[in-house]
Amino acid sequence: MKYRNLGRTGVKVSPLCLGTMNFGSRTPEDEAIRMIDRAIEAGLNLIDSANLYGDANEGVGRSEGIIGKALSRNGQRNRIILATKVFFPMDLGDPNSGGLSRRHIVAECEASLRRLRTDHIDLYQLHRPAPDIPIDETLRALDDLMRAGKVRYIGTSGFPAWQIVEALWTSDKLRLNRLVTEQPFYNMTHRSIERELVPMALRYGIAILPYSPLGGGILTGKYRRGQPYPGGSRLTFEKWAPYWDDLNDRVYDLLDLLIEISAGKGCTISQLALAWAMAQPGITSVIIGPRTQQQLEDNLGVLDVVITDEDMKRIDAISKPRGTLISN
Amino acid sequence: MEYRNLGRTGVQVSPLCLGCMNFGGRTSEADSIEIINYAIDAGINFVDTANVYGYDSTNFPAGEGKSEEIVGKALKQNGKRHQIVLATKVHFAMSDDPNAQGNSRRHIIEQCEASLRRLQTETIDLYQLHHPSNEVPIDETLRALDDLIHAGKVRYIGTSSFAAWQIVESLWVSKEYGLNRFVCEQPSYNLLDRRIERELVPMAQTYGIALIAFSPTAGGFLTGKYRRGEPLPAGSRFEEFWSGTGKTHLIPAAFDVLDVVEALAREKGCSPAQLALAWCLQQPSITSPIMGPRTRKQLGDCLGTLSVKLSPDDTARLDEAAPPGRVTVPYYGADGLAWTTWGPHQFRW
Repeated sequence: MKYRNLGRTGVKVSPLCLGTMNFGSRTPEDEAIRMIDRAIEAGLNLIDSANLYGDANEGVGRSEGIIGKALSRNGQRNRIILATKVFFPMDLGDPNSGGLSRRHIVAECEASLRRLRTDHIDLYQLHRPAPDIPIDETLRALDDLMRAGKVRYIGTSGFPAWQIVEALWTSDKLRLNRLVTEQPFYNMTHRSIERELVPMALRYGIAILPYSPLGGGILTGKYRRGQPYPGGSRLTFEKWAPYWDDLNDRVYDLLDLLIEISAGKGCTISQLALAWAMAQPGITSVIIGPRTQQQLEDNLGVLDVVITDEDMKRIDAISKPRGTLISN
Repeated sequence: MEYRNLGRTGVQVSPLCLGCMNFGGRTSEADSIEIINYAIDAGINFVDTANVYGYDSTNFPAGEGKSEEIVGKALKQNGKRHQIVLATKVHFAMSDDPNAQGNSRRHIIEQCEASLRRLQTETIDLYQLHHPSNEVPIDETLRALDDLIHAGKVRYIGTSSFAAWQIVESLWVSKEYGLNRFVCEQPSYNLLDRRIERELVPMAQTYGIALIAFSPTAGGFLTGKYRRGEPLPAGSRFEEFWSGTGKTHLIPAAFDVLDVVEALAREKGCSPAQLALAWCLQQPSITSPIMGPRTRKQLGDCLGTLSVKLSPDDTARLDEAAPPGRVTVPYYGADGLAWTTWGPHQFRW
């Protein structure tokens, strides 16, 4: 495994990150634990969760609980760069159970530590920007958590580039620890981050950890032009941002090309999509979000896929560099 | 005329700005002066040029200041300099001398003096960096611009084609060193390329940066002069000047957006160009779109925009054809340059 520096930090991470959004909801606990063990065995050392991941009915936090259980069983906590997030409301009846206030961040950090059965979080991320609170309150709280030894590094998710620079400015001014990662939505159908975020990240040593590298399953090839969406697939039951609209011809044109290139390499479409994301400038570690062991096995196969400049050129000609093939 | 604040400054500008890129190149001096006078008589008080403007298809990109000279002559003749908010720019190469371009202190000061001479004035109201540079740390550039403000040669400073994060970085540097800050950014913005809505617009609204959009009619495309499957009209921009870009710009998806613009324009009894401009100047983030007329007739059409009002329903129809934040056709070739000039920079400040 070729490990990469996590931005300007001294920490090394695998170029694939195990995302655990499905754990405790669509993936049952025992299978999730087997997947964590398998990913670690394959050399992945970065695991990403969030405080709210889990089953909406039976309680948020179940994903973190499963990770805590798996790592205490397999004794591998020391090797793992453990990442989680805070922002979204944990209790819809309580107006203070979400957001980026000092009160909520400190409370949720303690709760995540308990669920994860650990004494520190390696990367604590703001899950989304909060327009209703000045960034200095948030950064001071995060800095205190770092000084208390409860958090090693801090990062963001879904932040525009300019707000990250604003946060770096604030950290510099107040002599606080600074953000070191950003987790954006990024895949071949949606390349907007190449316009602002990627150059900014390269300049400031921010590691980019993209999520949805397969576009929520669109880049696995399960959806075919002119055919109804397969039963049980995500687009049949969920319209989610940014995939509000039905898939358009430009996406199917891209899929046709991916089918051709992947056939030539003897890999799957999803492996090609992951290899592409891993090879983009500024990208440190690509977050996979497998629901099943089988999907995980497929994704791990990307580590053997070699993508050439010629492949990149052909994909660029159809997907839109710095743009998007889909709606917002 | 309803005037608008130029960002957080105390200066009022008209909601349309006269862009002078064609003057001295594709538009003759006499026609240019007539256009300038006509615009001022109609209430336009905001005029934008650049040191390099004045080129045509034969001498691109070195216009050697002809546009500025014409603006200077016109304002001298009509005696209206004092009521005009006069904007110009620096960055692109003025000659093959390697130091006659870029955002260095040396070049900026030299070109500011040269622009003042050509414009026959003692001060530039808005001095803009025509493009970001990844070779010069922004503190060198900002200190030079600040000195020009202190010396009374420049009133305000701004940028063009900067990334939102680069502007925040510049504001940080200005604050850190106590320098005058940028007040205005000039991005390309039209119905075919709405990407600035993702980062630049919210940043500008947060920091009081005025946005003055260039190419609001997508280089003339949204006037409807180009038709599906028909030859390019003689003397038009894509025929004469951007002949290489027609293939990438005059695409079916762009004509689909034009169809909606033309249908809505017919219903409202205005021209497609007026509709495209009206959409731009009624976006809450935009201070003043820049119209770049080549002829007096085109200017007349643009000015008609001021009586066109779009309803929320009209805007919704346009949003459906050209969704917020989306790009149908990338304007300009700036996209080709964006990778190198939007960072990562050689030096951090």
